Amino acid sequence: MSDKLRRYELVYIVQPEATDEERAKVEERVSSICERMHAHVLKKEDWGKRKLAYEIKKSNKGYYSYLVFAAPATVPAEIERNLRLLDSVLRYLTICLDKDISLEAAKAEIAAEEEARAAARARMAQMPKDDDDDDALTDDDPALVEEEDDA
Amino acid sequence: MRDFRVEGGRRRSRRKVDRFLADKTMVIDYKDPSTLKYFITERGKIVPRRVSGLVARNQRKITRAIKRARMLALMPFTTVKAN
Repeated sequence: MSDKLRRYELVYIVQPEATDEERAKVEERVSSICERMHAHVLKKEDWGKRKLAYEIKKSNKGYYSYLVFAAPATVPAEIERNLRLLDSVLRYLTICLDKDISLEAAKAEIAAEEEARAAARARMAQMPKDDDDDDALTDDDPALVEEEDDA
Repeated sequence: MRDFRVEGGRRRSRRKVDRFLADKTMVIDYKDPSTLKYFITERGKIVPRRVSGLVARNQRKITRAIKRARMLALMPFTTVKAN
């Protein structure tokens, strides 16, 4: 097999009113393109119904789906074209993670990432208030608080 | 603005630390708004480098991540409603 694959990740948002069938239809559309165009889906996640940070097409919520796939460079354009045609899709975003990658390498990458993310999440859960341990340092804007080291 | 100590009549800023260098387990990812939110103001603006204390490379990454997160409505473009 050729090594000229690229690894992409895709997130798309389906409108909140969509029925399960409609959402399945979108998913089916994406996976059929992947199959037809020799793309390999490496990972699929359903983030569920989430609140949007701002209104899109009068919706305040949306179903998020996430997938990672390894494919030739022509595939994302075709997927995006199809998502654009589906009225129930509010947004989509495709990002190229790696160029010129072999399928094996792409799979290894996924595994490594998974591990790193799990570790990061565990750490975050351990100390959620990591940046606030210095009481003397109060700030009007919590967004601007940063780590300190003046001991 | 913050953390200025008057010394000899001159304002001196506190030493800043790049959090992503301080904590190697932290990653910059547009899919993770809970980390990104430290780098936006209450209004949703991206915090400048002189305030965030990030190394140039990480500031660029953060900026890109925030912009991507905005596209997916994971983060706001602004918190002020347009009327």
